[in-house]
Amino acid sequence: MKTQMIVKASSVEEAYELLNEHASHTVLGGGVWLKRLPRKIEKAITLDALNLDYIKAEAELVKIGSMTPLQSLVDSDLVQSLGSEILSKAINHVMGVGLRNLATLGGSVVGRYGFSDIIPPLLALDAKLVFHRKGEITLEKFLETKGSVKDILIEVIVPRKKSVGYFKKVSNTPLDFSILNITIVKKEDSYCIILGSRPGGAVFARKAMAFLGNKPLNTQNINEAVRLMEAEISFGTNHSATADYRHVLAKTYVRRGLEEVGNYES
Amino acid sequence: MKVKLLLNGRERIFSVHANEYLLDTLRNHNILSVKKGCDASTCGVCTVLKDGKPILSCSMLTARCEGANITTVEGLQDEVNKFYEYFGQEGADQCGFCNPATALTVIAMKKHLKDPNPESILSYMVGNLCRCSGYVAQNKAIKKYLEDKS
Amino acid sequence: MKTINKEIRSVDGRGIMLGRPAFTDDLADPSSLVVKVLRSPHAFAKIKRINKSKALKLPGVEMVLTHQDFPRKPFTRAGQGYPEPSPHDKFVLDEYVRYVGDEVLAVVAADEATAIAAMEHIDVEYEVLEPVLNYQQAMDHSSVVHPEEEIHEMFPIGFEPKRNIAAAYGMDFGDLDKAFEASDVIVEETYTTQAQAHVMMEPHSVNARLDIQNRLVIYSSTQTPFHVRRIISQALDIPMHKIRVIKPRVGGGFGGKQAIHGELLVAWVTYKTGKPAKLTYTRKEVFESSYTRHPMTLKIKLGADNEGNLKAIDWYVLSNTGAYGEHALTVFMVAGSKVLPLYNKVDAARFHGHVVYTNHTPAGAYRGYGAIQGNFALESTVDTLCQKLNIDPITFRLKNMILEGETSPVFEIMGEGTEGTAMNMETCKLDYCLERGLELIGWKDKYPRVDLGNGKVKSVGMALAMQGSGIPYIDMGAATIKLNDDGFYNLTVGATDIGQGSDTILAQIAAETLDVDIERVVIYSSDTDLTPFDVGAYASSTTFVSGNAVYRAALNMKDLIVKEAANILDVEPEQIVFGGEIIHVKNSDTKLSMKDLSNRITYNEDQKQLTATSSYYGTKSPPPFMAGFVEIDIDKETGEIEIVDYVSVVDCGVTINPKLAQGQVEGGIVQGLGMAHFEVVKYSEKGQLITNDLLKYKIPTSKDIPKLTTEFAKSHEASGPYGAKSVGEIGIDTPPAALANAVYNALGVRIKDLPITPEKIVMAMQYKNTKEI
Ligand SMILES: Cc1cc2nc3c(=O)[nH]c(=O)nc-3n(C[C@H](O)[C@H](O)[C@H](O)COP(=O)(O)OP(=O)(O)OC[C@H]3O[C@@H](n4cnc5c(N)ncnc54)[C@H](O)[C@@H]3O)c2cc1C
Repeated sequence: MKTQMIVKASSVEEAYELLNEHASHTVLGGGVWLKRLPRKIEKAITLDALNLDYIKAEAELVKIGSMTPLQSLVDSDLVQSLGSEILSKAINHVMGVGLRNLATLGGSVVGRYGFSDIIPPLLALDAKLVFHRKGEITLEKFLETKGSVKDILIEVIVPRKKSVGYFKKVSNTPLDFSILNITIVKKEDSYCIILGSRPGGAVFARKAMAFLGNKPLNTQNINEAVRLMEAEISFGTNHSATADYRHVLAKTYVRRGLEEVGNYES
Repeated sequence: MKVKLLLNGRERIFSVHANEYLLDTLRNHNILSVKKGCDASTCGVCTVLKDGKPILSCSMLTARCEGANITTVEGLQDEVNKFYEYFGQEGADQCGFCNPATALTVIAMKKHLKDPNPESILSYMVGNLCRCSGYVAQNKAIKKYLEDKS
Repeated sequence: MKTINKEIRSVDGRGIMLGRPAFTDDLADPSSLVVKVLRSPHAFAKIKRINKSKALKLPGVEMVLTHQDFPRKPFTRAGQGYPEPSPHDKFVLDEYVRYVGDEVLAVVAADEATAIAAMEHIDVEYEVLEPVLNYQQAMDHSSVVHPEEEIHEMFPIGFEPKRNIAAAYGMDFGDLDKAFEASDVIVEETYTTQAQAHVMMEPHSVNARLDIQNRLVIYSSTQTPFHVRRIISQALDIPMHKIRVIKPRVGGGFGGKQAIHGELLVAWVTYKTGKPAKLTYTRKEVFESSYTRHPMTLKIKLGADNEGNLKAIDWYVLSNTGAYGEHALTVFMVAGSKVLPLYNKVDAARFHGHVVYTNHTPAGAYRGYGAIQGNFALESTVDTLCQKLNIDPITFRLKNMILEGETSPVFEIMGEGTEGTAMNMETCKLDYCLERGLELIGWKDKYPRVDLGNGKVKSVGMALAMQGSGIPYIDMGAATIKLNDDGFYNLTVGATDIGQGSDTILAQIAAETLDVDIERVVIYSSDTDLTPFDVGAYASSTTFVSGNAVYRAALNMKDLIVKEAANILDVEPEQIVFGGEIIHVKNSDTKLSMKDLSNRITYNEDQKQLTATSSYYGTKSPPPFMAGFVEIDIDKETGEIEIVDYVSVVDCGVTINPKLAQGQVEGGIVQGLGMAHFEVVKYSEKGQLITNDLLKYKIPTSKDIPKLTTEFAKSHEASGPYGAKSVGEIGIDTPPAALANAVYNALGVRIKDLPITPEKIVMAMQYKNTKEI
């Protein structure tokens, strides 16, 4: 990225106005990913003065400001309490501390990266996003949108429901993108299974989820769920793995994840 | 534009372009312990402490550091000396290009991690690449330094 | 021994960690012009036209250099002794570009931003040519990578550029047909190895300025300052006496900084403009536009009798040198010469092959230098052969491997680009290394595998390796020792510390010989004006070659001091007992401190400067040996590998500095594991390097390496300084074969193309299962 000017917005509304002034105007989260892009920017708008770095508990929710650095999510007891730590553990798998202290939750969500290790657990935990103009929208809905996001993400809301989670990142080294990530969450009366970095964006294994309903996780049910996942989800090939290998990983780790979640239950 | 930093305990004002990153600002002003290894947030040799936390200076716009407390090994000589005692003892130093960044990360970790265990230590350190040492001697030195409560 | 084989701290590690400016870019003149290279987007093209007028009009742009600005003189960037065994096939800039990332032109501007902006204002018109991207098909390809007439070899290396052959070689001994006839079991396998990237943390960097005598002073992140001086002089027609090359601290090299990089462009800019200039590669340039390990295809055939006697080795190697032929012949030869002697009891052997040009990033020197490729092929095949013979691979190795006092005909036949040097193994503790390694890894409890019951299998695998210690009759190193008032010494060496710790161990050798604490020897390396010659840091030569030079210089200094002392004390030199800081006269109370002696000859009486210079070249190259063992836990379903431990037992003679030697071995092991396991290199169909950053090219991290167990055999090489052999490269050789063997032992699949990724393992298992059904 190459920027001509940096503007520190003094209100969310101002940030929004500036962002929509010109196609090249861009909001900076941590700016880490943006830095790598060959993009020319007229004005870079920062939210640094808007106090959006927070993790707050409310009765049934955790609210996380969009400018909260990833490392804060790793360290937060509140975030750790969500889905038996899957979110904080998943984020702990993103690069090293020097990057996690810069990259923000907002940038990680708005970027909608196919490789993301952060979006799948958020999805599984039913996260909602609060935008300045669009207002509240589920993360799931947001991921269906395309094109540049000319709105300001204010915070991410995660319900504090009791759930048990499993997250697995398969990568060549710990500093690598996921070859595949597998997220499984057992909720009160259902299961959620998500496959991310296929290398395309994260998807639900809906047929497997529908089949499982709130059935017990015995071998037979697990095998059927894995079979349905295999039939439903497609995988792609890129420089780090072939579709075939991703398929092998998916069926292995969905099975192991379900087993683990099942063991946790009993 | 003008940016005021508390750099290694001293107030400094730098005149920078909007697109200038902290790594370049520091190196242009003779803070040479901070290295450029990839300029793309993947190697860790540009690590500095911002308000006590390790960050990759290659990816931090200087303009966003207004008022921040920036520390490099130049400003932490005593503590680095202390860490080096263990590092040198283990023979963990080779080319040294990554060592100032390693030292800063380790020193910050000592403050940050209340109850360090091998897993949390590695998660903290994993972004600091080294191509010379094979890491094991470094990890031994880090462990000893963390145990040193003096 | 006071200093040798003692745990002495590195002489410079603390200062570097404290952040003192030490590396090339730290030392650039702040007002330097910035040189940026515009690089080819095409794998192969001819430059038709360059329009630089718009760029030249930008404020701050100093000049744009194209091939028309340079003398048309082919040379090699390889950074070897002279005449080089590498073809002279490179021009500073050329009208052809031969790989994506090759140099098209250079922009020189007041600062980096201006230089980058100027590049965007330059139009280059190319005639795109058909590239050679598959090295299996390079020979006699319709496209010729080097059609130009001026290029040449310095002596016969099998150079046939019109056929895309950069070098070729063949040797054999014994009656191969007969030896295979006498074999009961023959195995033949083909292996491939990838273009590993060095990924030293400091990118290539160089800067230059003119001094007050109008001489070029170049700071370069190089392993070979003296070769750099020579090559600059030859390629740019600048008299050698006008050039001074300073090697400051180097942030890792691993062979990648043996060859020159930006030195010619920067030297030219400063020479022409009189202004300081600098060039530091971006990480992308380091990946795309420096050098890689030579990718190879190794076809190997072994024959043995039923008793487990290895009879014959037949070996063909095809090596890919990429667009230019740096180290083409020698790396390929080392694949044989530093591997074949491991099994010296064969009746016959043949080693031959070709090194071809392609339109890929050039290959060059890289730690291991062919030996790692050869080792992977041979040590994998030995396990396969044992499988067929139904003989334990350890028993087989103990029976067939080289032992102390023995030799191999290969030593005499194969040198580096030339004939070799016959030698006996005065030290070879390979048998000890093997037995000790078996103990340390717990071989008998883990071989071949233990099912862990959780979907994982534990297994072990191993390989033997050898390297060399410098190139006999070629590599020369020199050292000068100067005595100062107060009685301390300066030791100046041309040997280049690139992070491997040679400044420390060379100072240790001098301190031991002069019987003083290491603080009393101040070492400086390397500077073509100030330090004596040394070929540089490569070929595992520094400890052995430069170390011997330092040892001799220190002995000479001791003689000089003894003479002075005898003179002062008015006794015969034979009466003098040199005790480091204190000099005694035999059977008397008369004493003289070094402090008094040095002060007296500096200031008071019979004043003079004492210096001693000595040099050394090897007349043999005693190989270090090692046995490497890996223990892995492997996931049967996903092929994922956890490296549990890597045991290295090394015979490198006496370790001058045990901790630093351990660092050399362990650093090598981990680099070797990277190559063995996940350092994937991918090119696009058009020849672009896809894995050109640290997001796509993965090197080992601290989390990948939980445990390394490193020991040294008790060994004393009489020809080495204080019994030392080399240790810089040996560590890297065993991991590929050891890991391949461990994977085979675990799952019964043999991966023959590096790296051994989980995906390849899974696919091989699926293939095996379909075959078995
Ligand atoms: C080298 C590297 C390796 C990585 N590896 C991984 C990995 O393994 N797994 C993983 O999950 N992630 C990985 N990431 C991504 C990382 O986790 C972050 O998601 C990424 O850096 C984006 O965060 P940021 O704060 O830097 O966003 P920025 O770069 O600042 O912004 C990204 C995008 O979001 C927009 N944006 C940011 N904040 C807001 C806001 N509040 N409102 C509206 N728009 C906004 C920006 O305009 C931009 O379009 C990696 C990143 C890097 C640089």
